[in-house]
Amino acid sequence: MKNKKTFWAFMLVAIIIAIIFIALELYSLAVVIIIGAIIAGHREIWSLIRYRKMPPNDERVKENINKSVRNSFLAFIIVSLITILLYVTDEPVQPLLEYYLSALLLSVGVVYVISYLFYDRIEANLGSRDIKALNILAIFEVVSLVIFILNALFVNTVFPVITDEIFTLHKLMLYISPVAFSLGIIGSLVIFVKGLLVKAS
Amino acid sequence: MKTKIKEYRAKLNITQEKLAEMVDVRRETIIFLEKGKYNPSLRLAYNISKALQVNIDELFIFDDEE
Repeated sequence: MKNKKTFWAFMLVAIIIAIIFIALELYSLAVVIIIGAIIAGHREIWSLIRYRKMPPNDERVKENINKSVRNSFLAFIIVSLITILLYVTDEPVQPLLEYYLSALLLSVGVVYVISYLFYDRIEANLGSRDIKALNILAIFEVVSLVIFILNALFVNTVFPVITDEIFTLHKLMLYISPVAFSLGIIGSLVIFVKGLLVKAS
Repeated sequence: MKTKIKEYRAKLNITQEKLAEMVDVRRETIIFLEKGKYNPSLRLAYNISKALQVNIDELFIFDDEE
């Protein structure tokens, strides 16, 4: 954020929105708004506590924030599309709007933090081999997640017309894809933490 | 891209922190510039060369293959 005024205005708006959500008894949304505000302003909060001044907002920070916002927007579109699929496929797993919005905001926030950390610290700290491994694992995770979601979503739609073989394949996919996704996440986390722990000097 | 920021910084006995303050960037930006892992804008390159009292082309060396 550019200056102290922008920072305080942003925090004030977040608090007002959180209070409105609390008044409407939408507690999970209020919690997500507060967490999101802390995440978005973490650099400023830390700098104000430690150095009593705003952190420098240099071109590298701006570039990293822009790239992270772009990734968050993509995540927003993907999560929205998945939710639309949930509603249109007539599955019994239609979430409450409050939980849907909370999950949507939370996933966008998580993508923002991971992206920012990646561009700010990890990309520069890790070697090209680790970055390549991280990219491969990311593709692996996305593919297994998409397979799992499509499998879960369209089971009722295609169930009446599928043969035994396809049903076995569907069952296999339903169990294999979460395992593949978890393995991908563990692998990525190991490389991610390695990148975070490398001390730049 | 390679840089000689570290070399010229040492000549003037300026710390990364001090240089960051002089050109109004974070210390991490100086670290990654010194490692050659960040391509600065022309404005930042100019500010750093001015702070280190050296010409831009002496401070930043571009590899023709890049």
